[in-house]
Amino acid sequence: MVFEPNGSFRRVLGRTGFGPGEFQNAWVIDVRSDTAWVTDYVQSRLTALPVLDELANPKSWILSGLALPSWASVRLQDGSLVLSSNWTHKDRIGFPLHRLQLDGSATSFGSKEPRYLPTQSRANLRSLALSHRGGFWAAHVEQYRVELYDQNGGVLKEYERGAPWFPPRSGPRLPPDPSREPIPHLSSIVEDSLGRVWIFAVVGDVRYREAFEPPKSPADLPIVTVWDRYFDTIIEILDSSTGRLLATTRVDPAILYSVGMARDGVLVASERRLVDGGYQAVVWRTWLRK
Amino acid sequence: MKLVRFGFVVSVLLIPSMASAQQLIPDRISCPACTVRFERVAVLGDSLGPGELNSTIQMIRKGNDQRY
Repeated sequence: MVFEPNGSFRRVLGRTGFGPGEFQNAWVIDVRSDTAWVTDYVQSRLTALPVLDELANPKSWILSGLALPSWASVRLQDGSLVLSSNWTHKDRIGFPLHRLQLDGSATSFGSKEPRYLPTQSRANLRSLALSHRGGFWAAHVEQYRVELYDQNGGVLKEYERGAPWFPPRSGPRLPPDPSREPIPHLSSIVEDSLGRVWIFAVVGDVRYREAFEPPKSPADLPIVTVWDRYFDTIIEILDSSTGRLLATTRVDPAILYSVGMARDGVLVASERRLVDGGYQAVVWRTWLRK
Repeated sequence: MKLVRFGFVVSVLLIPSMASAQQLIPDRISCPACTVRFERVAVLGDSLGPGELNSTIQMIRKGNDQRY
């Protein structure tokens, strides 16, 4: 739904269906004042929905093999979108990053050789954040490795930190299970207004066994319902010019989403599970005080 | 801030909760005088589904981008 700045209702965007502006599984990846970019992996389609102009037609592109929801996305200054997603099209598979131009064309990059292992579905995923330099940061999800790209997809910097609490892993993805400790992963990255890079890595909470939904039958797979009990978050701040670690701390919430810059720091978000099974978004501000 | 949502109607609540700010002991590295501060600033949404939670996060990002 679109609301006016004063809170009054303006219009509804999208509906269920297969036609223009209709979706089977709508997943918003970016919104500007005039356009909402929405992916639909059921229809392998990217749609640009006009938000304000009620007479303008939605524009769609078929993106064959795009496995969505994508892990992360950023919009660059030239309007193009960079997605991190396991995109199984023959020209895209095995690359972690895909840049979509406004005309619907795409290029894939982010690794020297394409490499895709179906059992390691997170190996090619990256968390993304815009940089004040005009490019973007890409953080590996399964290892503590951060790369800075320019607008054209060239690597400007690479930082790797040997944190003992986050050993690199390359085996098959193991789903959460109360019989084993949570496996760390890097959930978010944000650059602040001073150019410092904030890394958010989730690690096992001591209460992780209490995070699961009670199984209704022995055949049920374990399902995490309270991520704040499954993960803690380690927050680390890097000097973006040198990669030097400025500070680190550990907090109890599971920070799963980046929001963006804030005064003296950044905003991030966790999710809160309600008793009726729904969710709320919890927004946090974190900053560095000298 | 304009709110764009997909799906059925869900009310959005904004609950400032600065009182819940957490102070944490830092593990100082290269900035001996630095302390990482961390506080909750808002709770958004009312029983959101997973897709709606994603849309809400996108809206928060969008609203925040307009400030900076």
